[in-house]
Amino acid sequence: MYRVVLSPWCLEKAKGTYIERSKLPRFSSLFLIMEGETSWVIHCFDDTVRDVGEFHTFSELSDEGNKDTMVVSLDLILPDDLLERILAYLPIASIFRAGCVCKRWSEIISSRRFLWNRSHVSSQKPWYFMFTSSDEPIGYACDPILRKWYSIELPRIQTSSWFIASSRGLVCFMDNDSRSELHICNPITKCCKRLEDPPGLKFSEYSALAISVNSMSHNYNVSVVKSKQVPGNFFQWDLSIHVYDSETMTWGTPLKEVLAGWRGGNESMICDGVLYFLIYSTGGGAPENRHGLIAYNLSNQSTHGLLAQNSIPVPCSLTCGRLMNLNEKLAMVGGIETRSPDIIKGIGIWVLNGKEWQEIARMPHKFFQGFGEFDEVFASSGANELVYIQSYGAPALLMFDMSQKQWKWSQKCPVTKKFPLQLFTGFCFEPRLEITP
Amino acid sequence: MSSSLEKNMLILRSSDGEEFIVPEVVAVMSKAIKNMVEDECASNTIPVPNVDANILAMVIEFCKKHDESEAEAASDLKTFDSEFVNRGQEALYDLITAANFRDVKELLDALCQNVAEMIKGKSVHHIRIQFLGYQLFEILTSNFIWNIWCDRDFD
Repeated sequence: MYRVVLSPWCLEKAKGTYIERSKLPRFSSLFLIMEGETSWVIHCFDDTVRDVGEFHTFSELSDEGNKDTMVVSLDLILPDDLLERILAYLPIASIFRAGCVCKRWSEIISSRRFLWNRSHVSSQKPWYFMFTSSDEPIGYACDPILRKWYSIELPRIQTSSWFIASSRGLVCFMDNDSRSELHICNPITKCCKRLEDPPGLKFSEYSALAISVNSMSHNYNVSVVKSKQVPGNFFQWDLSIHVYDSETMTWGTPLKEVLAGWRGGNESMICDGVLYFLIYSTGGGAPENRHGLIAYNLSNQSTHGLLAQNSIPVPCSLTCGRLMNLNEKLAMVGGIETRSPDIIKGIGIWVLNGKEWQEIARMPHKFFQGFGEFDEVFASSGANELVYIQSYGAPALLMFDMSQKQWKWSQKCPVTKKFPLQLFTGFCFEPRLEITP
Repeated sequence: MSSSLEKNMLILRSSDGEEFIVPEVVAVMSKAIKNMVEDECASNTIPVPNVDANILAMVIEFCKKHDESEAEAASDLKTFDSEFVNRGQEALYDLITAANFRDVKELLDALCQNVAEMIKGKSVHHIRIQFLGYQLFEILTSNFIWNIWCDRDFD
């Protein structure tokens, strides 16, 4: 059975104003079953609303002096297609509520046409799902529009250490231990699917996971970059790129190469058809050159010479470098190291233009201090125009809005720190109804 | 044909018989009127049934502003839009109906977005009261509702 997952519903229930509990599970399983089996309770409700509406206008005629009390019913005046247009502008949490208002609204938001229209109306601000690195798969999602946190349960996370990637409403999880078990889900509708295991090495030392959803066709690609040390050789690493295509439902391995002096890592991102991943120097070298970025075009899959020779250097010596897709441009967030590594003096955000990094923001000092015990490790994640940064040591969450160039703390997170060494982490995803794995 | 008519004036007649003289470029922001003009089935006076003078004046004001300020900064237009749509619910719904009927896309989008802003973040209870005229219903039929609630067996 499904569970009630978003707290607004629970709140409505607590106040006794929501209509029907059995509606919710159907709702969360993507509505399609609902046609033709709407319940009689809602039906009665709705008819009565209409009757009373007519009665209301009637009583108003006989009662001229009392015009202030007249409530104009949106529901009576507007036809379905206009109501649909209005509801399509709502942020996602409000849509769930609108579905509880009456039968007609509920039918509108569950129609396929509504879902389709909605996907074109608004670009959603991504939510940030924060969880504590314990074995409980429970966490809270931060909604930056309504400035609220919702308690959400993610399906299928059995252990706390998973690799996570997300794109346009889909989230991909890969088991950290075996690095082969892969699940894709939509955290809002709870639709979930296990993919075939990726080919290539099991138990690779490093793997970088990325997913990219096509906004028009809703097909998606999942990529895994695996690297494993060549046995008996400290200098050379086997690197392989595996790509899953949802259209053909198959994995391919477009590239295998041996890197010398470099190894792959756990960080990758697909932007505009290009797979980017970070590589790390295995043999000393100057600190600025400890990282590199590799761009691999997934569509033509051609390589010109060896990967490492075409790597793009990172702008400065970094820790916790993370890649993100901000409106199909590659961005990187990282801690800027001082001369002694492990101590950072700030956090910067860069965007890749061609082969050049352009710094677009640096965290202001007061926010930087606000993290409290900043053990120079932090998580960051972003989508569309929003970047989230969070220290592993505390549930504080900072947002940077690219369009307004504005830093902002989120509302206080309901996750609290229960013991000193408790760690927090998270990822961001777009809340979308229309997309299914 | 239509381009040679540009800057010509058209007369729009509202449902209650009032006439408005507007430049054609403004009038054709309504797709419905544009089609009439292009099909040459319109004389100089175009009847606009279903839309009264009050609402028609508002629609024309909106179209004029959008026509004038095509070159202006988008942010100015945004401020104008948000002030324009900031009206009572009754006028809003009439405007939405008019904008839909006359097919003025910019206006319809701005209005729908505004109503969505009003719904956003409200509780179900609040939405029912504000948008469904639910108050009276609740008082009249509270017994009836309770009967439903009590009789209903929640799986």
